[in-house]
Amino acid sequence: MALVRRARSGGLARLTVTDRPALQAYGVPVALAGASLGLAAATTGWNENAFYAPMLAAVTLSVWYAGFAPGMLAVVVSWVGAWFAIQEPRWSFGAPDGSLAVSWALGLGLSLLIVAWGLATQLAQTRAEGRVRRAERARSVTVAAQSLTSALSSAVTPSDVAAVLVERLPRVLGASGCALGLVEGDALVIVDPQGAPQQSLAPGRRFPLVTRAPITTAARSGKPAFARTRRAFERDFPDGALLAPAAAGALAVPLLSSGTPVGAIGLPFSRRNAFSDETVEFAELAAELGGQALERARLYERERALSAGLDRVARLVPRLGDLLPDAVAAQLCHEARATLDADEVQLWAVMDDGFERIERDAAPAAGPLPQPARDTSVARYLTEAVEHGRPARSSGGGGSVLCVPVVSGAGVEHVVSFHWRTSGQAPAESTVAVARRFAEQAGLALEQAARREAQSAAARSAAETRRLLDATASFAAATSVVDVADATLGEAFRALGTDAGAVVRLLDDGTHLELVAYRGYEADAVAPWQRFPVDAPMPLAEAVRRNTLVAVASRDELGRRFPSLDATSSASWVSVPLVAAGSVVGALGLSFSDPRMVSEEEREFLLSIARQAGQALDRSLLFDEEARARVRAERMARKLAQLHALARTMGQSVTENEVVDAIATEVVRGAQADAVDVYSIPAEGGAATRLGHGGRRTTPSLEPALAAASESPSEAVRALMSGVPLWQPDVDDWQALGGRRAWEENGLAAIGLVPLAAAGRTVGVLAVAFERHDGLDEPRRTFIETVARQAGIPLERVRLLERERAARQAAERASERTRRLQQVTESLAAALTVDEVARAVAEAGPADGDVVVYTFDPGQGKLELAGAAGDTDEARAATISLAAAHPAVDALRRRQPVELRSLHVVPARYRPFVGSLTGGEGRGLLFIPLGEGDRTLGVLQIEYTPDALGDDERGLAFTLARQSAQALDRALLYEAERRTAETLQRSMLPDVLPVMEGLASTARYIPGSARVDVGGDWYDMIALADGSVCLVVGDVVGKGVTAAATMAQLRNGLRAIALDSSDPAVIVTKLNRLLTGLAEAPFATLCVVTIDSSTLELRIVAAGHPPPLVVSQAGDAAYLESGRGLPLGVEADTTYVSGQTRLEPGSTVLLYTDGLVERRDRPLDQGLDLLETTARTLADELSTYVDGVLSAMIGAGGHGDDVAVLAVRIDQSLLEPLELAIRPESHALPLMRAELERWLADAAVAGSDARDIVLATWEAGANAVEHAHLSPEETVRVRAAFVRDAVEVEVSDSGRWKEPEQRIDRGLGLRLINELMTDLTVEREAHGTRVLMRRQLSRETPSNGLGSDG
Amino acid sequence: MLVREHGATIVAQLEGNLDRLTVSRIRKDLAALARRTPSLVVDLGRVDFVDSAGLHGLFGVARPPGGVDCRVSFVLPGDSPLTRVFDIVRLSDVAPVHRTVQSALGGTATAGGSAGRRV
Repeated sequence: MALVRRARSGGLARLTVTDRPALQAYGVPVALAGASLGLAAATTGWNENAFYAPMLAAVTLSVWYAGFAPGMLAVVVSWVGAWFAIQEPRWSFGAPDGSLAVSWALGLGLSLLIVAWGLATQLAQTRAEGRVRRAERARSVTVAAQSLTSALSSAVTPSDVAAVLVERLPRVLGASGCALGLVEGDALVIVDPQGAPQQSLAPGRRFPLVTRAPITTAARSGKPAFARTRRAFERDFPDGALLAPAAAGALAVPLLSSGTPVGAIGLPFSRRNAFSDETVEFAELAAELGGQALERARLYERERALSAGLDRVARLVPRLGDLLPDAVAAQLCHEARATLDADEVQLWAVMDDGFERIERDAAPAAGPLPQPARDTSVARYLTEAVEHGRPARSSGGGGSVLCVPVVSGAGVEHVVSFHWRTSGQAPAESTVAVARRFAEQAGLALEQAARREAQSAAARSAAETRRLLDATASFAAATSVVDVADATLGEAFRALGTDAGAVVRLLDDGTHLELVAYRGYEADAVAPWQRFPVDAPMPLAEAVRRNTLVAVASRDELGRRFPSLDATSSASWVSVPLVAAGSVVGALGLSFSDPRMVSEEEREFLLSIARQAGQALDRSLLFDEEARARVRAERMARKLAQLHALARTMGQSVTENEVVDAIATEVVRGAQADAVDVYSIPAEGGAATRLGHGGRRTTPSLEPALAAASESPSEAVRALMSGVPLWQPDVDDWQALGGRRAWEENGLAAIGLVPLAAAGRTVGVLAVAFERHDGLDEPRRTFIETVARQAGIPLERVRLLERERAARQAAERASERTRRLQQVTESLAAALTVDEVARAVAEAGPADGDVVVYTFDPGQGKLELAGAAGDTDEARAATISLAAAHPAVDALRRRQPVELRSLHVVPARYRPFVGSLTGGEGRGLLFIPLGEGDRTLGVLQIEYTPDALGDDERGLAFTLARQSAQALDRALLYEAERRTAETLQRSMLPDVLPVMEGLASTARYIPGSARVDVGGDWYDMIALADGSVCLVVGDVVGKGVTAAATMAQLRNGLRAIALDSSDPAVIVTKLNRLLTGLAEAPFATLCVVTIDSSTLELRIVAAGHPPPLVVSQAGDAAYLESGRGLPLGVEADTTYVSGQTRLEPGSTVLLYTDGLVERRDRPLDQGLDLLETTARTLADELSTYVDGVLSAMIGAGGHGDDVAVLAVRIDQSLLEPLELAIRPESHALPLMRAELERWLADAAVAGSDARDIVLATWEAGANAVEHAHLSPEETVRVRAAFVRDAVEVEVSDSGRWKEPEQRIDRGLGLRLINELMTDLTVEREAHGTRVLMRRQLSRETPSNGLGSDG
Repeated sequence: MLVREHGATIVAQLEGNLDRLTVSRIRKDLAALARRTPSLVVDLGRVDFVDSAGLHGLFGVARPPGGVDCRVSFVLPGDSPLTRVFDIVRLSDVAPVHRTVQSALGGTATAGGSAGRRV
């Protein structure tokens, strides 16, 4: 390597052995020469040959050490020195003597030989080294080439390739640097390979290919370009020499790809002629390798880019998912360019008449595209792409173009064009494929974007509509101006995204604006806007003035035009006039904290909001006005209503209290007075009276002060009387009013006196007091005065009204008394009995007094309670002894009224009487004797409260007493007569009915009610001589004592006749004759029935009398219609014929008078039907039965006429029991059966009752006959008897019972008895057996015979 | 006793009393009839009185002794006063009891003799 380097350096360096530094290489030989010269001179003389030996040695050393040239220098130095040394005189310059010269010459020749040998040796070595070096260099070139090749082969990207070239080449070629440039169009661009050392030219620099530099020349020509020397460099490549000022030489080789130069490598050298032709060749080789590697790497990269492009294309659509069409187009172009590595991509929309470029994306450093990629000529390919529906490509000129149709939606709507400026050839198929894929995806993306845009446009429009609707709704909901303003601000804020703004309205004067609402400002900032003129420098004002939208986009402009807005720290403003019905009603202003423009859309929205807001504002202004008016009207109406209510209350008031209450309540409520007094001032100058008080505070009375008001020392108080209110009395006034202290003590500070006027006169005074000093403010005074004005007249009115009412009441009372008296006169006239008189008096007595009537019974010597009316029965006694110390007794005896006005203070003698009474306060008693003629009949006692018993009432009471005395007298007489008749009648009725065997009987007589005179009803029951019984019921026509007397005569006559006659026909015929013989023959009806108790035969005559009723035991009822005849006293010669029938045991015969069946409200027929029904359903013990019939027929509610009822019931025990004794043989059984059947038939027992009894008795008898083992003399006894409504049969024997060995009926007999009879008892004893059987009668027997007998 | 023949069926109408005094004779007669006919109808419609012995006798007739092949049925009109008694002893448990002779024949006779009289 040292040799190589020396050879390269050339010149002197080539004659030196080593590459020692020149000083060292030449210094050492000179020093050696000097030293040897000195040593020779010192040791030998110069005339001796040995003198030259050290010098020869020094030359030899120098040649060995430093080579030929230093050796020669050493020779020169040594021998020149020796020349001067051998000169005589020393150190002169001339010829030496001969021998010395010869020796010098010989020595010189010898030393030259040494140097020549050295040179020869050196040359031979140099040649050998040259061979070695060439071989070595060939090897190293090969190694370098191999290394380069392997490095290039592992380089994947063009950048890697460039890096390898840039790094390796200078080292291999010995260049001082390297620069690699690639052709881009007509320029060469220095690349910047990653990981490579610094290049000698700055990366990224562009050099036109025409630049006169080795690297551009190589790139342009495709051949190496070099300059071995600086001079050649500057001459051939002046531009390159400027770029590399330090380079002594330069070499540039082109990078060829497929024979085409795609770039070049430039290598500067620091030494001239530093490279050989081999170097150039090697560089060419390296460049070729580099070119291939670069092409490969580019292909690879292209391939990778394509695959990446396909990937990207595949991911394209999803990535563009939410972009808008514009953005999609931009992104598509960008992606397309990146994917296909195009210089420019343009997206065209297919129009009807051509194409419109809607987007382009160009490489960053792009200039204008070269021809034919200009738009005009691109059109051809665009058209072709659209027409054929497939990519169209071209190449030529400075670039190539590829147009791909993009199908979206309905068809080819877009074309994308790719432009490359570099490649001179048409785009590769793979590129086209990717482009097609891309176009497909782009179509999808565009379609989606279009759809999205449509959607979002729709959504936007919907949102806007909604927003407007919202705005409309909120405006509609806003009623007041402020509401509308707030809604406006809210909507505007939402639309424009700000939060500060204000709404002003144009005042009615049209010259000023008033702030309605604001938001987002400090209160201070908007203070000046509360009210400002329309011509103020304000955007709001300007908007109103100009009726347009005023937008100020920058702070500067804002500050300049509207300095007053500084305080709002706004950066931009927009103001919109609010318009309604064509005129501006206000303005909306919005401020933004950053400068901004208002977009067209926002502007439109604002304007539409403003339109709506304007209308709403206009409406709300009206609304507000209306509301205010309404409030005013309502307030007025309320006030009016209150006053009306007051007036109405007072107008409706009928008492003073009501009016006063109304006034006081109204003042307390309406004026919040703490105390209100109403005083009356009488017209006739009487004392003033406090009529009422209201409020929570008590007040001292002003009565004395007001009574003397007309003479009061205080003028103000006097003025009250002439209708002047006195508000806040002064000291003098207070004196006249009785001092202030009492008021203050009650916590009242403010007092006002207001006169109440009526008919031009002060009729009262209203005193109003407040706790607060300022209580009597103006509105309250007005209010109180209003109330007072309204109050006077009603107050006066009710006073008059009350007076009138009192008068009217007095009149009414008088008329009421008269009416009552009339009423009592009427009722007394109608009263027959003492009870009725008492009741009439009591009911007509003083309205609220208790009235008691006592009657005097002279015989008993006592007063008896006859009637009473009223609430309390305390002061009533059933009887009062004449000996008692009782006011009633005193009144009776003195024949004068006695009155106890109060039970508290009474004469001592009445103490015991009063002591029994409770109460006493306000309770009085008045006792009035009831006298008629000279007799005193009773006492009227009136209990009253003293207030209630006025003079009028007392007078009434006395009148009443007089009238009732007469009535009482009459009633007493009437009652006396009635008592006589009743006594007479009762004496005629039998007290006790005769007892007849087998006949139960009962009778009732019920007198008529008190109002009806005693009648002539009677009944009788007579036991006749033949053992039968005679039943009589009669009714004498007429009432009272006469009728009773007639009845007595009839009764006695009948009894007499019946003594020797038992036929009803005979009896009645004779009785009729007897009656008609009487002087005043009265009419009478009569019913006579005889019953033979042994045969149960009944005979009857009904002389004009209702028919008796027969009720069988089974409950069948039938009237005995036979034996009817005329009433007694009608015809003297009448012969009555009796009817007859046979009664059954258990039958009931009911005789009665017409009072039972006849009532005023019920016809006779109905009465008879009811009686029949009632009698049938009631079967019971006779007495109870009759009572039941009576209560059902005449009820508890009393009756009109007398009623007499006589009932008999045929007892069944009337039938003799059957007693049989039969022989103990079977043949006796049929006889027994026959007897029993007959007996049962007599007893009216038939049907199954009879059959069952017969069979059971038969069986029992058969049993006894067959099993008792009786002797022929013994008998079986059979006894049958009625027990109430059952038949009992007893079968007994005296035999010893023996269980048979075989019974003829196998026990059936006993079984039958058990089933047929109700009860069965078998008594077996030592002396015999007794079988007791009982059969309850079912009454299913049909009745017969009653109605048929005639 | 009134005896009538309806084809193979014999109808025996009893009258009067059927009691311990008469039962043995009646029973004997009926037994004789039962031996003569496969179907005997005993009409009780005219019986006035029946006692336990009479009832027992009817039970005997209704259940003829061995060797006698005769179906016995009774006729008791619905309104008969004896109904209660027959109910008590449950005569219908031992032999069919019909309301009328016709129905008794319809239930027992097969010969056409009686068919013409049916209503």
